[in-house]
Amino acid sequence: MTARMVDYARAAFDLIDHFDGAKTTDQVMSQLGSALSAFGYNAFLITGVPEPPLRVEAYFLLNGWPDGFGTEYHQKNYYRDDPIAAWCRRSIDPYEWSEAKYNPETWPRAATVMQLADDFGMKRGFCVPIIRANGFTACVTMAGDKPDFDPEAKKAMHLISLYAHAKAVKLMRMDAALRTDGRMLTKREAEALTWIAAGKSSWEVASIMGITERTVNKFVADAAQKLKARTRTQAVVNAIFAREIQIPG
Amino acid sequence: MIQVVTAANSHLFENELANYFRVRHEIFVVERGWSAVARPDGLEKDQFDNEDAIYILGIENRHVYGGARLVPSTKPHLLGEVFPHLASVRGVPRDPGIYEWTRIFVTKDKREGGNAGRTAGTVICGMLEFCLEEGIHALSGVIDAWWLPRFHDMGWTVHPLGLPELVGKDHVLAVVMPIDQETLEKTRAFHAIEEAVLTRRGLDPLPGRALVS
Repeated sequence: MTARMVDYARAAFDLIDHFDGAKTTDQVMSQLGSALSAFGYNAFLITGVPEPPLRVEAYFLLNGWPDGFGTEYHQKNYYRDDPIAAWCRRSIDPYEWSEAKYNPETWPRAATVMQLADDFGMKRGFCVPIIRANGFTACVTMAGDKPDFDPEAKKAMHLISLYAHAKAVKLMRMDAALRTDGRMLTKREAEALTWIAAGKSSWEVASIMGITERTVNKFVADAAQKLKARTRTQAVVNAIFAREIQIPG
Repeated sequence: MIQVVTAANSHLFENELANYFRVRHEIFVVERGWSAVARPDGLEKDQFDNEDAIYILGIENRHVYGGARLVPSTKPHLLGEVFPHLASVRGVPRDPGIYEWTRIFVTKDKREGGNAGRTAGTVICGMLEFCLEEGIHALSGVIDAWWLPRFHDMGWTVHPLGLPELVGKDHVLAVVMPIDQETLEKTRAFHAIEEAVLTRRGLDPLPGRALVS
């Protein structure tokens, strides 16, 4: 191994050891941000990658995007036309952003999204898809002006990404779960939310559970509050990630 | 039923073992395209399928529907002999309490929808039960890098031994994974498996006696 290869490997392994000791998402963000900037990345994002038309904001785990970029991205729902996200949903292997091919003539909005990223200093990027045990896709994506794309550097980023994502999930579960007896939601709240996750309406859930629609809505609202979710969709996502409910089917 | 087969009781499972190596050919050579391990006799067997190998087999009606292989890290094994460069940062683990885990599979007819199939879960739980009974405290091996989040989701601890490397078209990672009672309980909870699954027919029933030291 050359000295450079040892440095990349050491950087990755040191960072993974640091993640182990981190107790808050701020600590992880700071550790990850420092390490990535040494590799030439000034922005990163760890997030779930749902299928459109689901919106991505509810799935964010660690947001290291430039201020302002996210605002416009979400306002204009650029996720739907983000070619990096589209490529991620079809890949298991890491890739440079330039490998996420799209045809700007048939998909001009994709070019618009990439132009916005470029405007915010995210000119070249690297993305590591994450396939969860439940089949969901997530990713760790990072970008900068001229990141280090040495093959050994990319291997280091690949490994760092896998562990950064795992740590982010672990911390989110700890944040979301005020674990006293191991469960945050009551049995009925979890049951109601599971039916919602299966696509049932409140009315249908009421019928299934033998309660009023009003009670169903209260269960779901209480669950959402415990899970720090603003919407039903986000409550479902947070509940699944916190393993409070299982994906139906 | 999950049965552990070693050199000590393999004479009781001759038919099942013959079937097992044919099933391995179907899975690894035919389905996964590992042409490098193809043999003219239609059995998938390599130099590590020797008297030190331990097989965790899912058996139904004398047929093998799932399996995993364990090889002592103190003897020649895949990571140590063929892929030591994958462990270039932390080194190849060699310890009587560490076994290399390879060749995990479930036959097509037993695969449920979704990735965390319950059948695979029973094979893994059977393997963990055996390891805990016999004092195996960690599993080493080479995994597809994209599997790492799945292990984390199951609640396992995974220590990388080197950076991920491309082998053929696959990004693979050498790892060592400490295992204990908590690992077994988390794996059971993850797959909704409520009971012990392992049988030790033909082996000394006392824990700690199945392995030759």
